[in-house]
Amino acid sequence: MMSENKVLNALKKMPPVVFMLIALIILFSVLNPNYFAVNNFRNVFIQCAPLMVLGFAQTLVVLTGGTNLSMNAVVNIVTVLAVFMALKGVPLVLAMVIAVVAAVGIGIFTGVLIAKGHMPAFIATYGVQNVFNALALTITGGASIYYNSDLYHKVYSSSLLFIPAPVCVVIVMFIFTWILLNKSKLGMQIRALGGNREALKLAGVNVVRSEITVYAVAGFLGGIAGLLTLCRVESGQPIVANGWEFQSVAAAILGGSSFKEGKGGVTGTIFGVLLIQIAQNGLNVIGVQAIYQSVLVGSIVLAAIIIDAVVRMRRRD
Amino acid sequence: MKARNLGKVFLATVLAGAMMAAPVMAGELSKATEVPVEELPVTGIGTTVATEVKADGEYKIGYIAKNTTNPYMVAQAAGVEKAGEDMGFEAITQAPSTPDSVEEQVQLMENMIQQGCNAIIVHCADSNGIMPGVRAAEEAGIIVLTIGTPASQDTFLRTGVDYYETGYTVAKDIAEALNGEGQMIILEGPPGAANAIERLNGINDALADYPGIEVVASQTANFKRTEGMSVTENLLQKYTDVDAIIGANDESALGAVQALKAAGIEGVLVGGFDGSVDASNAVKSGDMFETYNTDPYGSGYIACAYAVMYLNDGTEPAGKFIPFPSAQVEPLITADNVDTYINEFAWFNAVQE
Repeated sequence: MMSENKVLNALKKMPPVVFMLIALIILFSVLNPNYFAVNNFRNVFIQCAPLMVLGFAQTLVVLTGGTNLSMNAVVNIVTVLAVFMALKGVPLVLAMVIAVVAAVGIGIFTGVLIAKGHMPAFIATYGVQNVFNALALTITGGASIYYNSDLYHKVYSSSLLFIPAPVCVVIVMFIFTWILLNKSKLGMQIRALGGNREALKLAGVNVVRSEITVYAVAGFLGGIAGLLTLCRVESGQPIVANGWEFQSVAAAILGGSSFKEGKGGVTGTIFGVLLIQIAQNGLNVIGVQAIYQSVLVGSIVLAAIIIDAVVRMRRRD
Repeated sequence: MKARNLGKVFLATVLAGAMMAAPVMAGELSKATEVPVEELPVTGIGTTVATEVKADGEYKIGYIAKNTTNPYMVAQAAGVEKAGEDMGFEAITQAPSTPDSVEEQVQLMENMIQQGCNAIIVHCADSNGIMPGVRAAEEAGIIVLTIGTPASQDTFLRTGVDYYETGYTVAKDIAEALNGEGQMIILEGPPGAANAIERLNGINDALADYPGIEVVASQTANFKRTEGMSVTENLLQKYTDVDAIIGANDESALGAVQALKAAGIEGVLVGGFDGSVDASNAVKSGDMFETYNTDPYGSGYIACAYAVMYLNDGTEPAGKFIPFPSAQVEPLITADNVDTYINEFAWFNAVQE
C-alpha cells in the first residue's frame, strides 16, 4: 500500500509533458512500423543535442523571469567565429575555446544591458540577437564558411560506453546546470530573482551581479551548443540556429519552469525538448509534408502548454 | 539553331570547370559530363518529360528540397512525385520547416535512412553542411543524388543545370543579338553563393570572346527583384547608353525590367535565368529578351530515373555530374518559343494546376 502510494505520488509530481511524450511515441509507433527502433531514438537524441543545451540555458533565464532571444545568435556566431579563426591559422581546438569565451562575453554584455540598464530582457536580447546575427553574416559575406578537419566528424561519430559523444556533452551540461540550480547559492538567487526580487534585495544580495552571472552562464551554454552545432554541420553557418531561441523557451515552459514563481528546473526541460524533437522526427518518419509539419508541431506545443496549465491549476485546487 | 555552339560550349564548360572547381570546392568535385541527348534516360523537358525506365522492385526514394516557399522547389518535388507514378516507386518528398536550413536537411536525411529509403535526392542548402547526412547515407549503403548545389564531395550523381553553362549560354546569345557591340550591366547573385559565382564566371567567359561588349557595371542584386530594380535605377543614372542587362536569376532581371520601364528606356535586352512565370510573361510581352529554362521539374525527374536504373541492375551513370537541362535540349526561352513554352511544357505549370 505504502509503496503504491509512493509510486502514485511520484507520478503525480512528474510534469504533464512526460505523459504527453509517451502518448506521442505510442501514436507514432502505431502509425509507422519503422518508428519504434533503437536507431531512430539514437537519431533523436543526437539531433536534439544543441537544442537540449540551449534549453538548459534558457531554463536558467526563464527562472529569473526573463527570456533570452539572443541564444540563436550566440550559436550562429560561435560556429562562424571558430571556423573564421581556424581559416586565419588558429588551431581549430583553440579557435573553439576562444569562440566559447566570446559567447560568455556576449552573455555578460547582455546581462549588463538587462541588470544595469534596466532594459526588459525581451527587448535587450532581441537587440543583441540582431547585432550578432548581422555580425555573423558580415564575417561570412552571407554564405557559409568552411574549414576542413576530421575533428567534427570524430566528435559526432565517437561514443563513450555506447553513448554518442554529443549526448555525453548534454549529460555533462545537465549535471552542471542541475548542481548550479539546486546545490549552489546562485541557484537559490536565480529562483528568487523570478519569484521575489525585492526580498532578495532586502536580504543584501547583489542582484545586479547575480543576474549578470546568469546571462554569462547562459552565454557559456550557448557556446557549447554552438560547438555541437559546428561539429554537426561541419561549417560556419550564420543562420543555422534561427528559430531555436523560441524553441528553447517553449521547451523550458513545457518542462514546467515558470517566469514568476521561480519554480521548475532543467529536468523538465529535457522532456520539453524531447517533445518538440520527437514531434518533428515522428512527422518526418510517418511522411508528413513540411508545410503541415510546422502547423502540427506548433499545435502540439500549444496543446501541451494548455494541458500543462490546466493540470497545474487542478493540482493547486 | 542553338546547336551550332554546342561544341564550343562543351569545350569551354570542361576547361572552365577545371579552372574554377579548384578555388570553390577544393578540387574534389567531378566536372560536367555532357551526355548526348539520345542517351539520356528521359525524353522531353519540363512537364513533357517522360521515360521508359520502370522500377523492378519496391523502391522508396526520398527527396529533400531547400524550402517549400520557392515555386522552383515545389516544382522539383512535383517532378519527383511524377517520376514515382511513372516509374512505379514510392516517392517521399520533404523540406526543412525552417527554409534553407541545412541542419534540418541532415536530420531529414537521417530520418529517411531510418524509413528505409533506397535512394535520397537532395537539393543541398549548403555544400559542406550536408556532408554528415551524405556520409550517414553512404555508410548505410544508400545512394545520394544532388540537384543544383552539389555536396562538397562527389556523390552517386549530381544533376540539375551546370550554372557555368547557363551563364555562358545566355551571355553568348545576348552578345550575338547585339552583334558583339554595346554596353552591358550584370546583376550578380548573392556574394559568396557558389551557384552565383559559377554563373557569373560563365557569363564573363562568354563575353571574353566579344571585345566589342563593354561590361560597364557588375554589381550584386542578391537574386531579389527589389534589389535588381534599385541597383539598375542607380546604375542608369550613370550609364545612359546601356544595351543589355543580365540578371543572375529571373527575379533580379525582372527588377531591371521594372527600372527600365520606370525610366522610360526601351530596346535594352534583358536576360535572366529559371524560366519562371513572371519572366516568361515578360519575354512574351517583349519586356525581357530571354530566360534560361532551368527546369526543376525535369531535373527532379531525371535524378529519379538514374536512381531507379541503379537500383534495378546497378547501372552507373556516365559521369558523376550530368547536367540537365543543358544547351543541347534548347533551354533558352525567347520570343520565338515562349508561347509553346508557356502552353505546352513550362515547369511552373506542374505547380499551378
